[in-house]
Amino acid sequence: MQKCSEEQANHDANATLSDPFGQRFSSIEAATNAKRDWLLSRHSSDFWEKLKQLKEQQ
Amino acid sequence: MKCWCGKVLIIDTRRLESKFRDDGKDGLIEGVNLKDRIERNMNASSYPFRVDDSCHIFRFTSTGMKTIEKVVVFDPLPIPGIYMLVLGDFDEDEIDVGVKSNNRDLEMVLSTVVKIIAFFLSDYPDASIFVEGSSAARNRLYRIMIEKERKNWRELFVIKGIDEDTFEVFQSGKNYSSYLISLCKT
Repeated sequence: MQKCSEEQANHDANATLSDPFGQRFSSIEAATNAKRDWLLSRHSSDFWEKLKQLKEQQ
Repeated sequence: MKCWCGKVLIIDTRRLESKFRDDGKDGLIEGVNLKDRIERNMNASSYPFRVDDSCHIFRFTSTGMKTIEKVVVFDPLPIPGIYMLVLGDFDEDEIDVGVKSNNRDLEMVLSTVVKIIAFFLSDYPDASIFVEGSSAARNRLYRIMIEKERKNWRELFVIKGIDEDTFEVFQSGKNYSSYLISLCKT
């Protein structure tokens, strides 16, 4: 139970670090970089591999 | 003002503004005049938009309850041919990519974004746009908008609905975590 809580806490901390929403940016570049980092951290490597395959099939 | 990583930044919007010219000439393209097919196929009203020289950054003005400058950016993901969509508000020389504007013109804003996507894809016909909102609620909103205009966009776009284990052609009534939008080639 404690382990789950720790994992959840770590997950929340990471989410806070990488979540660009609700934040304000001084440039478009900073905003896009933050959103890209957020998207990449949000999905598994399997997800991105599937997406890549989907794109290649098009 | 602090940015998302906590650093204090000096704001300089001149560099940003220099990307856009207001003389109606070089670099400033009135998108509404260029894509007749898009105009014919989309029912909902939309705002005129401007595009920068790179054709990756678009701007328009939302005029609902307030006047809000909006920006739409297409930025490549590390998958060849796939760009993520970033939608943000300019406010006091800063960009907010998660704000709920509550400007009572949501339909018109989303319709404008759809036209901007079509505009971008007409210049990059082999590209696909990856769209994922900041929350499940926002993704549902995107779904509702896609469904609402479905009979109009189905001639223009192929839209895939994506969830962690699901990659399929968009189906009405299903919630997805993200969408992949490509130009219809047939």
